[in-house]
Amino acid sequence: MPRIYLFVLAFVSVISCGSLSFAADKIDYPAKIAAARAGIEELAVKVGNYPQALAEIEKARVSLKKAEQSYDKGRQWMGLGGLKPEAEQEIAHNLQMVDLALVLTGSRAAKGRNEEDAAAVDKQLTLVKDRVKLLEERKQSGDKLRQELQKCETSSKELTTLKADQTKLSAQLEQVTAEKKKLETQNAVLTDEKAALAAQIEALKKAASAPAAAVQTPTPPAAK
Amino acid sequence: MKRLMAGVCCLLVFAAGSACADELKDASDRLQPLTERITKIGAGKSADYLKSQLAAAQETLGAVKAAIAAKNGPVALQKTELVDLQLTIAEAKAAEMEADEQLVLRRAELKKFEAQFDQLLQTGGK
Repeated sequence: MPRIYLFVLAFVSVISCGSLSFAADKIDYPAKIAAARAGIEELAVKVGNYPQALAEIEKARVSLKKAEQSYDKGRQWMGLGGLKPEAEQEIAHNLQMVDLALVLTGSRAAKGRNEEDAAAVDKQLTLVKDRVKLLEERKQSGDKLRQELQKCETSSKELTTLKADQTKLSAQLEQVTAEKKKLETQNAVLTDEKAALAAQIEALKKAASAPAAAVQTPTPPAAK
Repeated sequence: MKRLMAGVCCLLVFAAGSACADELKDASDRLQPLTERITKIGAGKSADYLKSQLAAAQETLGAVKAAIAAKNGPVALQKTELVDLQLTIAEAKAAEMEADEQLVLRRAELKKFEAQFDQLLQTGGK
């Protein structure tokens, strides 16, 4: 019996040592899987609420799950002898898929942020364009008003000149009217004088013609 | 009993062979579309920026072809999946770059209008 125990002990020792040395040469998949999980969760927190990025995070989780399943299935009896080669291949592949899915997540999130920024810039652009349009309209309307004002000022100056001319002309008119009145008065006086003179002339003519007639028809002496 | 066991073994071998053949066919079918995608991305305006991604995808595509030649269905499928993801990343990077360029253009336009607005404000509509 003791020989059997010794044999079993020696067998287990050999297997364990072999397994340990084998494991030391091999890649530490549990650590890699844990690191991948930590990477996914870290990025999931940072990535923000972008649906496309979140979908890629889910894909990374699915790949991680596959890697874990491959690891669980691929472990040989009691962990002795490491992983089956095909399981190792699957784990490596799925971990690579996780890494790439995380890269894709970053890219999707960046695109999502870009789209958000673009939407914000578009909104701001619309606002500024509207304001610029409004200011330009005001500027045009101001220009138009200024032109109108300039026209009004010109008209006003012309009006002032015309008023001054009118005042001057009115004064001249008054003067002329006064002179006319004076002349009319003088005219009336002269007309009267003329009429008087005419009457005197007539009277004189009559007076002159009466002695002449008396000379031509002398009175009879008897009548004396 | 022996016949039954032999029959089951034959069935299992056939099923495994059939699954492997399906994987190989699936991988072979996806080769052409993947090659076309690589060509399309390579012809795009972001090709220079995506050189390393395209080179990696080309390399993986070579691995797919090698796995198909070696009749290794599972590896061929895995590598196909990998190329697909690498190309998706390249396309996403191209889209991201385009979005970046658009954003830069929009920001420049906004800056121009803001400058115009400031100028109009300073002149006070004169």
